[in-house]
Amino acid sequence: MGIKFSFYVLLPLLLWLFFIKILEGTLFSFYLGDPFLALALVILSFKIFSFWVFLSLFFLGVFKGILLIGEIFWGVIFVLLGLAWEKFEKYFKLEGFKLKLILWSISIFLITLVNLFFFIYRLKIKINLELISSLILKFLVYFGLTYGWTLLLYLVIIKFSKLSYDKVE
Amino acid sequence: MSLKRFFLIFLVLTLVVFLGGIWYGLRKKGFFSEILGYVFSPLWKSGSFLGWELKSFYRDYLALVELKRENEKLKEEILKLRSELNLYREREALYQELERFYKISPFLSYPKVGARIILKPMDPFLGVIFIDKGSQDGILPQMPILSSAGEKGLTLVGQVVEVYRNWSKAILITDPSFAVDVVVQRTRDRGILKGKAEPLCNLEYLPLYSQVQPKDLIVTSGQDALFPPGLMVGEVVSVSREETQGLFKKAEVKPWVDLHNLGIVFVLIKTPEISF
Repeated sequence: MGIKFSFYVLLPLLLWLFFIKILEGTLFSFYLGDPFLALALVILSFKIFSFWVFLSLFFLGVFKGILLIGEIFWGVIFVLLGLAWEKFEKYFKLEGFKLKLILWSISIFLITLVNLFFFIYRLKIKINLELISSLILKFLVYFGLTYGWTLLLYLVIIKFSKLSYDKVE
Repeated sequence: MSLKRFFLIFLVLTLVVFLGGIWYGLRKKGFFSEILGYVFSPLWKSGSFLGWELKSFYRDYLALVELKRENEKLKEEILKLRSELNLYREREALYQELERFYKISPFLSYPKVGARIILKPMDPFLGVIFIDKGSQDGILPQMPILSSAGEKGLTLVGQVVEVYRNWSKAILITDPSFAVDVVVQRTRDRGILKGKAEPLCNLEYLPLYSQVQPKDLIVTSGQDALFPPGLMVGEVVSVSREETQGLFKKAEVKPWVDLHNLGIVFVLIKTPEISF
């Protein structure tokens, strides 16, 4: 996964996702999930842990952070996620689609937890049962939508870049 | 991964965090937001404009199209006229909004800057908006953001947190890090209103003897030196006793501002009045 792939596949996708996030608040008026995390997970699924991949991950995190709060925080979190995937690949070998699905679930779960900790860190009220139930619901919405994005982007990248499931030109 | 590579990534990350922290500490704004925001703010503006236009197009035309098939030429003419009318309506709405705001805001002696919301990232854990005015318009962090709530008065929308050259980032009153000193208009009891990333906000530290009831109006007290007194915030929905601190009551407040349909806001050019 080099500059060519980043330029022809990742950049148009990123701009497309960015545009969807812009329209999210005005046109749709409801939360559409976290496509930046989804794109990061799809990139990691190709098991190539080069300098460009880590740079892409960092900037995907920065993009997520710019639209919210904590740009560098999210950049670092995404790079750490990449390092965790690399470590996992070294010991367990990323083979098969099923394993990818499981790894996506674990990654989204962990990032949702980070989101939750960030939320609780900023929260100024006491946490009660009502808030916990609302957080569980939000957790599920975030998880489900981001998982959907991951599957969609994975299929899009496979289709349009004519890649095999496990190889990248 | 070799130890050398791991050490290199760790070093780069530490350096980025360190430099980013210094940048934020000195300038109170993100380094990447400064650069990328400058590049992308026209895209946000056009995207937001397109979003609103598509929404109004859908609302104004698509529902009518199926009902008017009789004369294509006439329909085209009607659409053209409606398009113009829509444009004038938009201008009229903007004008009325500004007129209403300035009519009901003379008691606020601070200058105000009208701003369009260019980006509303929806997030289940935050409440953030981007506006199209920045440091070149005199905006500074912590300035209050207001909106007019019909004939009811001026209502608090949020607070500026990061200011860039031609755009700013603000948190809404529903954001979990937002807090404002408020007073119940009828009983004059003071409390602190806090957001929780939910449609309703929490009103805490109300005195135990407080006679606050649902439908009571909540306004800013001005005691926090950040927000001027008398700004409408919302109305009480429910009242209960604090579970852990028996000395206080708490309430849930529904903000008056319609955060979903918010398009134009006003930034009050007011810096915090800290007195010791």
